[in-house]
Amino acid sequence: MFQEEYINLIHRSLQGGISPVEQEQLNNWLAASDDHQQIADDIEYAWNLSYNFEDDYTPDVEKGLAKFKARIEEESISIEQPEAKVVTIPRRRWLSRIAAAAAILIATSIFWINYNSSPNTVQTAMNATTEVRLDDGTIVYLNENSSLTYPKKFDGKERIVELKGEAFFDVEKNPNQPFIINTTDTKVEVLGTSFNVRAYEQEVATSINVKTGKVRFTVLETDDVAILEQNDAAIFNEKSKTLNTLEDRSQNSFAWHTKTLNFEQSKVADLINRLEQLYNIQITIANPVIANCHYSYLGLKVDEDIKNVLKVIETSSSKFKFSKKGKNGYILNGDSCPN
Amino acid sequence: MPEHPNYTDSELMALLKSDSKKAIDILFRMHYSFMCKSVYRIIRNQEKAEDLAQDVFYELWKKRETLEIRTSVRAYLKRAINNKALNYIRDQRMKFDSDEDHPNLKTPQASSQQHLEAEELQKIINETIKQLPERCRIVFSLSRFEELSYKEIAEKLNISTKTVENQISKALKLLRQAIANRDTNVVLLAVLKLFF
Repeated sequence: MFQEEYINLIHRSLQGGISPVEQEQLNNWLAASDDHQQIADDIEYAWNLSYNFEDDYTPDVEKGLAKFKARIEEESISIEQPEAKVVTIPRRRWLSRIAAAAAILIATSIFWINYNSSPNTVQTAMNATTEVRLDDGTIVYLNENSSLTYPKKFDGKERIVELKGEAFFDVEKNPNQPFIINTTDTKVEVLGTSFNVRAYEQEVATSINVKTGKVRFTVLETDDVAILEQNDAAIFNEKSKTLNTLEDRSQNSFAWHTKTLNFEQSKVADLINRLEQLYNIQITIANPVIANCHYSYLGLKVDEDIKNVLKVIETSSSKFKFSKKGKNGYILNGDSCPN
Repeated sequence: MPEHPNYTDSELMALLKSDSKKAIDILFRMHYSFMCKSVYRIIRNQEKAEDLAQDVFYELWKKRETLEIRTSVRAYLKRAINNKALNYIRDQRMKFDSDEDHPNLKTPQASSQQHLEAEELQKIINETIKQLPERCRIVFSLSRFEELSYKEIAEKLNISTKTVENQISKALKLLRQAIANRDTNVVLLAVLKLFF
């Protein structure tokens, strides 16, 4: 065994996680030389001192508490609002009442309610995106293979829509009527802001990236919540049931909408992934060295032909070369990283 | 800071259901500081540490009506904050396997010219821990302060047990180096004190 392994044994014996056989092994090693015993003594001494480790850091509890109180006050605005009750009346029943004059009046009003609250659904096809303007002025940019269900008029206490797939929301501010997006696994609540939600049913993850404002992202099953602000992102993994948050300043997640990609010392792998996703192509990296390179380019336009985009990357990096392979494939060549 | 009487955990849990604002206030004052410090040992960013501690309290607040805690409140919060910190690390996709292996540590060394008393040795240890390379510091902290086994650390950070072993022995070697000459120094110091 190497000395390192004995250091691990010493450590585990200090931690109390060592088997009798290992302890025996360690004792033999200690007995073999005074130097060994010295090492063990030093490590024990250092280990014991490290227990008292202190950072020069004292959090301001009162300030933290004030911030926390403000947060629960603010959140209670949207939590404590009663759910908007939707009364639905089976059609058959109101058809049977249509004879009575009074019933006609009721039916008319029901029709009016139904007309206003019965949802509209917009569905996009493969390779198509669309823009939906909602009654409150909110604009929803719907990515391909997605659907958005929304009422013609938002007249409840909340503005509720349903999303399958991916969309970028630019929500009109209205603190009195929170905007809620339901997806299969999650719920997103906002007062007024812009952000991207990706919730394709065939993918295991639901993700959200916030461009401006503040958003609350709730996982329905676990009740996990993430409060997101500008440049924050959250990903819920349906398989592991985990909700993770991270910072993403690149805004690349909604490049399908902005038609722009930003790279700042980004891994080449990230660049390749984004292009593959946006253009439905496959890019193979010929030289593994290139995969670990970093690439920077702010404002890479992705609203035109992939060939032009690749050309821009070739010129700006001065090290990368793309060649075509098959119908939807490209090969990235190069033998060193860009400066 | 307003004084509050000492509540037991069960009293606080009951209070959380009857007067939740008061209870959360007390809980926050009792535990917030240790939670922030505990995250900060892993994530060297005070603002983030405080945000994560806030999130734990916020989640506790949300569950206040149904929450059942079987351990002590402190143990519960410790666990919650640790999970938050580790999730955060994973989110950041820290490069545990590409971390530099030969850091240029400017570890303060106990030289024979220095008069070393326990307090100074403590300072040296503190500085050495702060200056450990990131991956090494995180692994060491989880072992030292969270008392996790190698296997638990490996699982939480999604790295191999071998990597944990390597990082622990690396940390301990560096800590040992930092204080290695202590005996001679302590003796020397004692002798000097006798004469002067």
